[in-house]
Amino acid sequence: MITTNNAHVQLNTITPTVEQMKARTIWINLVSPPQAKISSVLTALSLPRDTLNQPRTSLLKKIGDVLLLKLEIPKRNLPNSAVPYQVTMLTILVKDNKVVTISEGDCPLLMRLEHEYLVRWAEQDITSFVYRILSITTTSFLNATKEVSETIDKFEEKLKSSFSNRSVYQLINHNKSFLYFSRALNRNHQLLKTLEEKSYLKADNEQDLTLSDLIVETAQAESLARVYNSNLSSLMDAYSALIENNLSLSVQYLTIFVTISAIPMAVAGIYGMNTPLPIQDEPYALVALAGLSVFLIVVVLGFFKKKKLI
Amino acid sequence: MLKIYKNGQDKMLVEEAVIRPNSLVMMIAPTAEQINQVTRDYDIPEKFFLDALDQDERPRLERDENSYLIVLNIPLKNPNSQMKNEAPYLTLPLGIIHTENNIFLVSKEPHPILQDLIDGEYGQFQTHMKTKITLLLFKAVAKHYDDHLGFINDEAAKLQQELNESYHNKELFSLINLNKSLVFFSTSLSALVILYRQIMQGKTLKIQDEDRRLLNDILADIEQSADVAEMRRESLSNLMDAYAVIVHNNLNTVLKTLTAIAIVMIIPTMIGSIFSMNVDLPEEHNPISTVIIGSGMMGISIILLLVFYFKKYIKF
Repeated sequence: MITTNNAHVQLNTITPTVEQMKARTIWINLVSPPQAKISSVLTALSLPRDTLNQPRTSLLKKIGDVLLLKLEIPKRNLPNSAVPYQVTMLTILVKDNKVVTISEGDCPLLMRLEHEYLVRWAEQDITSFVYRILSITTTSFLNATKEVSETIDKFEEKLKSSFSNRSVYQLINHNKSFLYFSRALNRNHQLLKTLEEKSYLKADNEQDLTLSDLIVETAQAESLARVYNSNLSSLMDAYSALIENNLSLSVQYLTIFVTISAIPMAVAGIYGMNTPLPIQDEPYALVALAGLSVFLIVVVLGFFKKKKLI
Repeated sequence: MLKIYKNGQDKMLVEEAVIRPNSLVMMIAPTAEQINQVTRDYDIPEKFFLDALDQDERPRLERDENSYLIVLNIPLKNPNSQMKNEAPYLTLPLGIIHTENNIFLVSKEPHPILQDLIDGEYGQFQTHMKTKITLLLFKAVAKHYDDHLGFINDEAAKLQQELNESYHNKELFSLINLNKSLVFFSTSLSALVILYRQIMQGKTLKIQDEDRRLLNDILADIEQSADVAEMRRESLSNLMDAYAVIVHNNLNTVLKTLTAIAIVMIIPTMIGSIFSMNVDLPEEHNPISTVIIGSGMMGISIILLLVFYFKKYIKF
């Protein structure tokens, strides 16, 4: 039985419905549940009320016959927010054949799992399903890393011709996502290792292999996020220098323009003097002076080119 | 392209026309039809092929009921590296699929590693020794990373030469692209290290003691390469910062020169403007005054030029 609408989550742990009789694994998905709902779940699982108020971010504990897992999942921020992704908590409670997941706010990766659960995991044993949830968290981190990295590539393209500091801020903010990811993955990785060592969940050989693969995958995802993060931090200086350079290059073009336009001004200034000047009364004087200006401009431009000033 | 190799009479590799047990199958940029046929005949999940041909696949191990897949990343010179904003070196996924009796090598593009393996560059093998072939490939990949890190070093040295004179961003972008290549290498190498450690545990591949020693050596090589790649990345980023400052300075020198020239040009303009005012000016109808004013302009301009030259604002 799945309920995503938090308005009515039915939690009939005492009187099983017909539906529950058929499924081997029962999944109860609570999305932003009110406090009262959490309390009723905890009571139903005979857990103390303050179970979920743990200060630590990631956690793996066995309380009585209930396994409590708290791990971190990527959370996409609103499209226009500065930092594209943050991390948020996902709490998993496992008892007998019941899995309760509690997430703050909408959780797309659990939504994706719903269909899969109906066609496949409901019939499988509980360990497989829990491992599937764990694996999908790591996968979602990988996808998010890829997505952020593609966005950053686009920014880098823009940076080539940008003057504004906004682009650097965008890079810094996107880099924060990588930092969150690498920390979260590190914690999840530790948690999975503990899960493997203490073997809290009954698992056959196949499932053990699945878990060890998952640990490897999480370690790789962590190192990926870490490399991206440290790389971007070290590129940040280079990019700020690029922006500064872009600005200076435009200043250079403006200066060249001023320098060149000073030539006709000088010619006009000299011939504007009220003193007698050669050829000033000839009919072709204007054309000659314009020609002289153009010639001087070409010479000066050529000189700049040769001196690599342009 | 699909090629099938098997040991002939005198232990030499011979190309075969059909896939028999104990043969090595090389699939470079396979067509959908070839993939379909192989997945049907050998009961390999199609996902293995799709993953091995996916440009962004990272090194990992995946099992199925009667086959498993190892994905490696091998370094490769980027064919479009002349294009703008493309990293000069990339990594390319290589899939090694073991079935009951065969080994399949799947790659999206041809790569010298595969040809060299067949030519026996990395050591002799029999096509039925799946683990041995796999380990030989591991060793080859480690060597290739080592070589490519050397190439990157050479390119960085070449760029340093060009940067000394430059005040444009082009060379800095080349450094940034080179840095991208190092990031590709770094991520692939760190993933390979984790993968090899997983294989060392021997849960998937049957590893004999001798193989274990070899794998240990390879792991050490890869770890070393990963460290080298990280160090190169660090030093390259320091280099980029240093050069960013140099480039900036070069540009400022240019700006200084241009501004100095603009100031010199202002002098004749200014004097000309003063003498063109419509008020009474001394001796304004005397032809000699033109000569005097003209030489005054020239004189002041030349003096200014000399001052700037000795102040090192202008270089001739």
